[in-house]
Amino acid sequence: MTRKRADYVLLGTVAVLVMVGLQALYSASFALAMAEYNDPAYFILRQLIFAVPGSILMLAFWRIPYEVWRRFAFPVALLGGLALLLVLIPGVGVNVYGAQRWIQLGPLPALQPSEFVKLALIIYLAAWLADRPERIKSVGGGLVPFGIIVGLMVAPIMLQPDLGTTTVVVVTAIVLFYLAGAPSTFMIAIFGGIAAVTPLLLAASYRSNRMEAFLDPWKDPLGNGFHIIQSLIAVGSGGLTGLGFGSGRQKFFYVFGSHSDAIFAIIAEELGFIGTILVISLFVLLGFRGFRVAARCSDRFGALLAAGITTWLCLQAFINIGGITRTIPFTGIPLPFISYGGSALMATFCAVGILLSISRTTTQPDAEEEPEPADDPLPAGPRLAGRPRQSIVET
Amino acid sequence: MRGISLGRLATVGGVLAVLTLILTARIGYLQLVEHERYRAMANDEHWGVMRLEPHRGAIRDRHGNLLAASVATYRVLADTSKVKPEQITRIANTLAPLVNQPVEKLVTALATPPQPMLPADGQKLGDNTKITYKKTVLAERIPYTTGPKIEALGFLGIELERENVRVYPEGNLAAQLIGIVGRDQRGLAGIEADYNRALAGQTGQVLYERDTTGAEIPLGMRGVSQALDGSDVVLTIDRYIQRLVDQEADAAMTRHKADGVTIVVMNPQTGEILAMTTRPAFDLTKPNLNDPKAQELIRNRAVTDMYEPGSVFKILTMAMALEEKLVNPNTTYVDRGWVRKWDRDIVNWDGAANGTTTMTRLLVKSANVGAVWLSDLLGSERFYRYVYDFGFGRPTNIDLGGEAAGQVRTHNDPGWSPFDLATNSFGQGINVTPIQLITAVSAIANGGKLMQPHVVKQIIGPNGTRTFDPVIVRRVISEETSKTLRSMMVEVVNEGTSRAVIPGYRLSGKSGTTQIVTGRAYSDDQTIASFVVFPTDNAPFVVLTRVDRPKDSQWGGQVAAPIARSIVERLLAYYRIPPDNVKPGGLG
Repeated sequence: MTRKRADYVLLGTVAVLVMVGLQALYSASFALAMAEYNDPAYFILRQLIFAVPGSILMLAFWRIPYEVWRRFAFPVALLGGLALLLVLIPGVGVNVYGAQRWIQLGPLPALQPSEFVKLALIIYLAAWLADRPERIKSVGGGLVPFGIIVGLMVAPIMLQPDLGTTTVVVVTAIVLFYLAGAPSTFMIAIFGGIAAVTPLLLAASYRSNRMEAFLDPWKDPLGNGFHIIQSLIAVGSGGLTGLGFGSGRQKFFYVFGSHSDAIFAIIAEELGFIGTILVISLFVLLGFRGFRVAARCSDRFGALLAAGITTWLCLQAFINIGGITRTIPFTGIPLPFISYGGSALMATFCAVGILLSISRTTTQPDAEEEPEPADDPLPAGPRLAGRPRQSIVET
Repeated sequence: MRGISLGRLATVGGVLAVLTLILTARIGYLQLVEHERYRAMANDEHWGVMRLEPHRGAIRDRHGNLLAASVATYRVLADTSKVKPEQITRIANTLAPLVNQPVEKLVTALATPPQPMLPADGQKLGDNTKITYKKTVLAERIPYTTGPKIEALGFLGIELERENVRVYPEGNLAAQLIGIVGRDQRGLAGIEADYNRALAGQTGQVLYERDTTGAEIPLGMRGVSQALDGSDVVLTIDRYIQRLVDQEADAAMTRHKADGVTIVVMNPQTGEILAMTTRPAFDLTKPNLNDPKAQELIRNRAVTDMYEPGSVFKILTMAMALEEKLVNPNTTYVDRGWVRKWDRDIVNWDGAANGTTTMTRLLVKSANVGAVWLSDLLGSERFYRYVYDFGFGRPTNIDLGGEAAGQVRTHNDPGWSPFDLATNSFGQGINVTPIQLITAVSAIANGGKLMQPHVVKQIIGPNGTRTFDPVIVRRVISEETSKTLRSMMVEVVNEGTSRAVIPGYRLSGKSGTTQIVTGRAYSDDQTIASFVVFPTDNAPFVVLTRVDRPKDSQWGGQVAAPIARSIVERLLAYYRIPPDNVKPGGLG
């Protein structure tokens, strides 16, 4: 297998996202930081503390041949599972806003394992699906074990409870299963099952409150609907050009989580439609380049891993922004690369490092670099060879 | 070699692309189509208004001494939505000694469930998304020094609000003159009400952008219109004289078991009121606005209430006759003790027939028959013209609210009879206010000029000072008439009113005793006893004393004159006026 230049467009996209994110975080967080810690730089400093080792990790993962992860897939998944269980143990896990999501290890900043678990599960599933290309097409060898693996990983996240992360993990797993060649009947069965389980999920009171806030926030503008209304006011009052960087008003405690889950609302308020389009374009570019890496990877594991990571990041961005703009019900998950949260930032850096590593090993010929090989062993190859760019245009 | 199916990858990419398009469309709708709506909502919740309260001006006496002033105190409020239930006991125990309230009362107040302030009726919910709660008042009038201590405790939900209160460094001094302010510091009576606009100043306001707690956003936009502090109102009142007069009035109330006492001291040269008091009075420091009887006492009755002046009025009748040169001090008339007018008899107060009497003796004996004789000489035309010129029957335009015009019925009015002219000549059948009477007497004291009485000397504001100069309304009598009459009145004091005599000083005065009309007739034992007096030459003050329904004696000369004498005696010392009989020759 040949090593090539990594996808620098992808690297550049991520770099711009992180830069924009740090700027936006400072603007969105200084008011809260001042009020709670009497230090306007409180959040931005902590984000930088994670960003520096995070980018070093990214560079390291870029250099590590991604095939290594196939070998360590199971230990990685096991470690992730254990960390998730640790969170639920009282005394080790830290409870914030009614959710048990963090581990406090001595003087180190609190870690949120579920952010890493997303990556661990993608690695494990990619390896598992790559190992048994034919067996997964059967119910006993595919659908059932797939359900068990995903269920085991998701259960502790649901217990935290963390509906947003659960959604991201489950949907990403299903996408991987689909890309690995699962029969369409399985897909129908899975979506049927989810449709059956949804009412149960809604039973949890805070979730159905969120559903009510989503359906009609104006019914209780000072209570249940307050957060979503304040987010909408931030987004809507931004207009075309925004109030100007740093000049937002909604971060003064109107928008809840202005530095973390709701940071997009502040970006929209301060930078306007131009700014929101810029951020969304960066994620579209990230998705496009990530799927391009997957499409060009001849190795089944590498392709699944690249597609899984890309799906995860794009899906999470969609669920975050969709929640803020009342396009879908709000669930508390961070906007990748931008929201305050060290664990999430480090996990996404690692994922991008792996993506870059996969991009170096693509054997699918690049038109600009080398001529297209004539002997493509896959029957589908020649038929689709000229199409990937036009079929994966917008993500 | 290809890792995965490109078709399936394209499907996933396509789904993500569709989701992205939906999201972009939604954001475009929010930011471009609905922008104005959300901007209005944002403005609605971001802009707050803060009132800037001006400092209310002080009321001072003529020398600048404070009579009424505003002092900042604190009101302690609780936003019970922010008070943590487990903290209530601790907060109550800590605050109780500071605000001087029982702990249980504070606990009850702190445990009040928060009442959200809902948008006004008709306002669409959702257009107004600020969450504010009604605040519970824990304590008021907390001293300015205690406020910072409470602030320093830093209890969540406990808030301080500035509250201005009116204080009276001289206690109840000049209560009716100063008047009262309401809880909102707006003047309700007296100078506080009449000069409210000057005292109050102008409220300013700050428009500012706020966070959810109502605090101002740093570097937010703000619009400020500064408050304009109120002006100080400097009265013509002299603190020393007012104190003296208040004390004398209180003493007279007790000594004579009187229904009321009115004392006015005026500078006849300028029209400045130096002191003004009426009894019974209300307590300036603890006004009770709920009791209608107490409310009655707030009125400044020296200006608002009328009475029949009685014999004091004879000096005015005499002034008219002198001015018209109908008589001189030695002109005589024959006093038979009674005179018949319009089929009714008028007798002297003591029933005596004085025989051939000079004009000076007429005043000394206070002969009603003599006054009637003078009015016959004058005739109604001239008499009532002078009555008006002396300022009766119309307001003096003193700078105080609620002034009564008085009541004078002339020959031009329906129901008038010559009998009215006869009784008016000695002060019956005519209603005047104390301020009208002392103003008229001042014209005699100052050489013939009717001055406009006033109590405000200066208004000292942040943008300058306004001074009120003496205003001469008109000349009523000549210098010569004034001088003649003043000398005649010296005899009145020395021979007629021994209780007003101060050895060594020439004082001009006249007493009056008015029978109070009960039902349709004059009562014999219910009277208003009054006295006016001033130093004969270059008088710096005129004193009017009036006692309503004294119980020990009904005569002005016996009841009202000694009060006036006591005041004049000390005023002479206060003004350092040497006795007339030791004045070095050539200067006097």
